[in-house]
Amino acid sequence: MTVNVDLSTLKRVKNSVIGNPTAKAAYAKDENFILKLVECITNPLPYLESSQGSQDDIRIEAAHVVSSLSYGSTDALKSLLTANAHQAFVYAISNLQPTDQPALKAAFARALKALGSALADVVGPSQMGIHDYPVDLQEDARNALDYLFEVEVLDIYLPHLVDSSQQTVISIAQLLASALRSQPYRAAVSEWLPQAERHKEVKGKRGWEKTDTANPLARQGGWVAKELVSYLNKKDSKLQEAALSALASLAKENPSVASKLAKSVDQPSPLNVILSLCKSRLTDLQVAACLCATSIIRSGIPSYVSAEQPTAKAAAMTVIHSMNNLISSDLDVRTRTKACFVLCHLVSDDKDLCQLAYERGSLNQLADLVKSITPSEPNVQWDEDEPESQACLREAAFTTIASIALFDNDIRCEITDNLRLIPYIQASLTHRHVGVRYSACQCARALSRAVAVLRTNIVDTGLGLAVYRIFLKEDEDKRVTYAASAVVCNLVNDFSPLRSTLLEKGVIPRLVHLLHSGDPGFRLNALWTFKNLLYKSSTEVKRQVMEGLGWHELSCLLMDSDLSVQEQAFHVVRHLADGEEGIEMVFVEMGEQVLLGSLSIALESENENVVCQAVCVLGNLANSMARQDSILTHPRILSALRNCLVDAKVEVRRPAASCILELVRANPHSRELYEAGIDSTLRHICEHSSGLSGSPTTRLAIGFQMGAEDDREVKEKCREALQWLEHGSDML
Amino acid sequence: MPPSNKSHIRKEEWERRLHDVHISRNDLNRLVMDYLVIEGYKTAAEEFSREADLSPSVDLESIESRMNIREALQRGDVAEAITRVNDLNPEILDMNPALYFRLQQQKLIEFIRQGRIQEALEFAQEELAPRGEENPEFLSELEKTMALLAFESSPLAPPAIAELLSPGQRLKTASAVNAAILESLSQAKEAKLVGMLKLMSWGASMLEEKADFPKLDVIEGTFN
Repeated sequence: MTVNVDLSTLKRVKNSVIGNPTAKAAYAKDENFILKLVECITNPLPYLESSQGSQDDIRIEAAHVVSSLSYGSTDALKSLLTANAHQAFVYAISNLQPTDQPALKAAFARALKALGSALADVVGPSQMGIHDYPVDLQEDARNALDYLFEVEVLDIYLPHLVDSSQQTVISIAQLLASALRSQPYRAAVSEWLPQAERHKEVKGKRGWEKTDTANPLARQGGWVAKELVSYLNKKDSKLQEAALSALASLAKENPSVASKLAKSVDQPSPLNVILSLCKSRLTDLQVAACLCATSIIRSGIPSYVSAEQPTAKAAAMTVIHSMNNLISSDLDVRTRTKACFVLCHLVSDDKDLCQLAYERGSLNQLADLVKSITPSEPNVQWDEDEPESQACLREAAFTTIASIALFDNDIRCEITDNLRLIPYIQASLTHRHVGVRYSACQCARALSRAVAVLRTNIVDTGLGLAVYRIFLKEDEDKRVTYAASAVVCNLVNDFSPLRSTLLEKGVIPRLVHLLHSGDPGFRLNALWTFKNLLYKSSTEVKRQVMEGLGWHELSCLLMDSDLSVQEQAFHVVRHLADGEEGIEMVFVEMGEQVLLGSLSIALESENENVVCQAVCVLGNLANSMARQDSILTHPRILSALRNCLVDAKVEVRRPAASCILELVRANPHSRELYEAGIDSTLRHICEHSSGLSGSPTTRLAIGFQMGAEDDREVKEKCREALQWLEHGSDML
Repeated sequence: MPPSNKSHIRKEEWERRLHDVHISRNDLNRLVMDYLVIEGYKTAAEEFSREADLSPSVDLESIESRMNIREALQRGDVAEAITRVNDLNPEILDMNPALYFRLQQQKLIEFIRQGRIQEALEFAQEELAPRGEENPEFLSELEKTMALLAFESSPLAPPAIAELLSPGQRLKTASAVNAAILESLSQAKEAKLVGMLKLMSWGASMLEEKADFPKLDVIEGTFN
């Protein structure tokens, strides 16, 4: 039964859905209702009963219902998209008159924001923590979002950033804050100009004028940035907060905007204003300001590339200090969660910033936080009644800890030995909330990168095995399995006490299963783990692994369409072919043709990493006297190897030189080596240490231009090889 | 610690020092306006605004709304309160599940208070149970309220449960809603005058350790 759409019904619906997810889900199923709801935004007349208020009243209520339905109900969002709600609101905004009541404008802007945010949440990436992206909604949501950032549509709602209604401005800013999550959208908004300015630019532009100096707006990061910055000094904290959040999203990974925000012209730069707001007593404002500052600091602009630079360091310290205070406070859970994520965004993947945060005590605050909300010795079902918000807080804390610990061993040891966080990480591995499990695995992964930690704490506490159990779980969330697999990858290293244990506990079949899963991330991690497992392993282990993996499978992987898979596969062969027994095993089981065939192709791969591994494999194989003949007589290998010696990065040239040295040492009179031009190449490398010299004819004879070899290791090996070639029978 | 080390500040000295502190009329007026606004005295605020020629820091309509909401809750009319909150700002309840639960819990309590047990049961089943499913942290409050149903305002109910029927519960709910509204309007939840009193009291106790001085009797407005 479809619900009627008239003013009193809409008010009733509005009051029943706001705050009520169950009610939202119920109305979401009523597609007819949703259709009429959206229709009445554009055309309220059919729904108007003269005794019940004006057209505007009905449109306002409908807008509020749409907004509420957009929050937290993907089913509702689906129905709204089908009904083209986003277009309806854009159209409605485009028809707004200056005489329209502010409440109407505000309601439409709010609805647009609610829809835009919901769409951005569906498409991702998530702004804070792990999120689920409904697959069936992806394409439609993406199209709708693309639509919202088309120039013609921006022309309709962006001008309302300058509006008499505070609420409208805030809604538009919040829309930008939430929806600007990818570069194309950021570019569209930062380059957008109001129509009047656009015409000016076209008229005034002469080819030789630099846009920057000619256009004052560009100097400020664009019209949108300029307007948002102007709100930073207003007294209304909600307005400031919205502007800061919008700037944070706009400037993220966007050096063209970020650099303008960091620049002082005749007044303090916007960044200076933002940094002072980082010390505001209003916590929401503080957090928004710190996030904004973080975006600018991490955008990649020249003066903020390294934490060593004084301005960058000072700015980072302001953020760190602020966020540390919030994290250690007893403020509400949501604020502390955000503070953790801001800190995480600041330091992630930057070694110096991680160090800075560590020095400023962030780890201590985070550890205290974790300990205050997590049992070290949990009883079963401790997570059952925990509010989701607290689980998210734990996720935030762990994610940040994992980020800080990613690079430095001292930091990792601090976590294990002094802060003693392992029991809490371990307890969280089986939490019902996926974000908690995922972030706990990330912590384990960061810790497992330290050899010392891997050999002691991770084994002694049982953390290694606990993660392994997660890794084995069939019905685990894929993201968690992936994170666990990264830990297992480290656990099978040759120095790990857990290597043999994991072998006994079925790591090989599980890895094979993941390899066959079709998921590129799983495939790669599985191969990586195999590679680590095989490093310096016994023949017995090699046999065990290959029994599970299969030689045929491995041969196929050597030709996989995914080049990073190929690289790992060759690395696997490299570790297999370590020592006489290994080399024989590889030749026999894989077959000489397949082995050398795939090697010769890989040596000429467009991917340098694949080439590098192939050369290393060859280098190992060349150690076997019995097999050198096959290598030498292969039609393409030697010439490919020679090319590697001259035409590749040093990480390839070195093993190429070693390989050639081995071959030459054992076969100084080999005809094949001469025919492949190895001797002349070696001669050229040895004779020409700097600059291009030698007669043009020599160069032409070799057939390609050669730069000078400047790597000492390569030169030494080539020299030795040349000596063998020239004095082979004389040398011992 | 020997008390004789404290210095003694005479009344005349104190009054002289007080006199030397300059406070503008405008500041005083703003403090008064702030108090009237936050505590919700709309008519007084309007009058004062005219007399002191001072524009109010907030939209006075919103004060009226807040007062109406508070009154509705104190009457036990939760539906009215929810409608008014949504009219004032539709975001508040959507963004604040705990507050929404609080209001629905209050609604259930009102059903029970009125003896409308059947409706209470239906409401609990249809509206409150889903809240508990969505957010397990509300379960214990939910259980408390359901226990109230079982006791049906019997005098045998344990105090924690009986308390739900007290007017104090309505006041708590009303305060929570008022605070959420103030927060959404970026207004302070406490009048500045109150904060100043607290500060003065703290300062006085600090000074007390080091000196004897005339203390202000806040209620009488005189010096001891």
